[in-house]
Amino acid sequence: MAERDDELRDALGGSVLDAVREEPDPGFALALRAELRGRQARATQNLWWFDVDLPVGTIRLVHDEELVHLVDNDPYRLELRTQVDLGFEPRHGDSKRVRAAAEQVLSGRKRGSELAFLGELTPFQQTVLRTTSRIPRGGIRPYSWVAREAGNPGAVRAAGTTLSHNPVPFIVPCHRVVHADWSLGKYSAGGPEKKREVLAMEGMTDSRLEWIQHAPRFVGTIDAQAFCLPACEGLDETDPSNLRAFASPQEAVAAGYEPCETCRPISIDWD
Amino acid sequence: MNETALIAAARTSPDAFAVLYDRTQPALYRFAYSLAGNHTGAEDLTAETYKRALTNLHRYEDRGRPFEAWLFTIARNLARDGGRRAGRELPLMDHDEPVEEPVSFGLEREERQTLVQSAVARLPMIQRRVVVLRFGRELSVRQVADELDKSEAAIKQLTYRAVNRLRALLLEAGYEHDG
Repeated sequence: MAERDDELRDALGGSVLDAVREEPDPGFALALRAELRGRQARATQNLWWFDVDLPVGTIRLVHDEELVHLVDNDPYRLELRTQVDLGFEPRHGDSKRVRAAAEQVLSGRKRGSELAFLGELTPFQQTVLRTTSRIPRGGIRPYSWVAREAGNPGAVRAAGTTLSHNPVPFIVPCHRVVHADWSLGKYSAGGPEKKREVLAMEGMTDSRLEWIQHAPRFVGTIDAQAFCLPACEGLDETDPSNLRAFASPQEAVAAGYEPCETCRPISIDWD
Repeated sequence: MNETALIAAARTSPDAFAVLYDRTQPALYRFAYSLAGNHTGAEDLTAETYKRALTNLHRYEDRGRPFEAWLFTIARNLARDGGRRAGRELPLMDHDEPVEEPVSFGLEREERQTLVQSAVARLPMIQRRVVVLRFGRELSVRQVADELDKSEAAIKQLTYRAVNRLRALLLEAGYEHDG
């Protein structure tokens, strides 16, 4: 026994000391599992597609048993993308599980990044799409806000490029990202008019949009002593006498207002 | 399903690979943590290890050692390459310092460490704790008993079982001892 002790002690060294105390974060372990499964689904050509009808038209989703890999509202373009990105034709199938999850995402009850296969993207691109998935249904945020929230305030253009190549539009809501002056900007799934239509479907109506575009850069709610981006949910329906304009976050903070936790107004490039 | 059949299935089936992942991931994560020294590093290393394993699965040959040992080797190589690329040493352990090699082992020293760590990672949690406290941190039986809130007799019993289990795992894995 004693000899065996020495041998083991020698062989073990210090590294197992930490190893025994550390378990992975369950969220990480599950996400990695889904991603690996997605990679293997691509490599072994185990992908399917089904259509979802929306008020703005039909979208086609290419998926494995857990994640959505590609989305397009134009079947011909999707065919081209599958040839280029996948190199094989997905089969027609209808997964109840993925369909139910997609419906949750489309109705705003689940984040799109949890359902999307993002394994082919760089870490920055993945972060941009995850950040975009946090924008609530019915809301919009500027590109500069996404870049800053993704941890790289200087990468506004890179964030824009990432969103214009979003492999899973509608699931990751790239249509909710707009210019800093709240004009809508481009939309690769059908142009600015389509972007307006998709946003209207989600409750961002023309009148709300107009209110936001004419609002001050930052809006304080007097009774809550908090300040927001004008696009923060419900501001346009708040009694105007309860609102106060600010030109900058500094001005709002100096007046004793706290930044809103929902729209995170300090994450906008205000220079 | 036994391991050989499972690995074969994982080459063509995403589901089978997911099962393989479930079986190996807790131990691999612990090993990755021991190499990286923090959670962020351990997560990166774990993800990279599985991605590489997935790409190279067709090249994996069953040489009678646990699949985990193969994963551990990948993780160790990635950690070393990563450290070199970043121009800094990852916090590797002192047992990576060159020491005099005992001649009684047929395997390379590093390979042996991987095997032992893989075997330790496969022990039940309580046995793993005892082994680590007793041989890793070099506590006495009394100290281990205090730390784990158990009697000395229980610690002796657990040590005995853990060592036997380790010996069996190591023999099965090809870790041979001439003595």
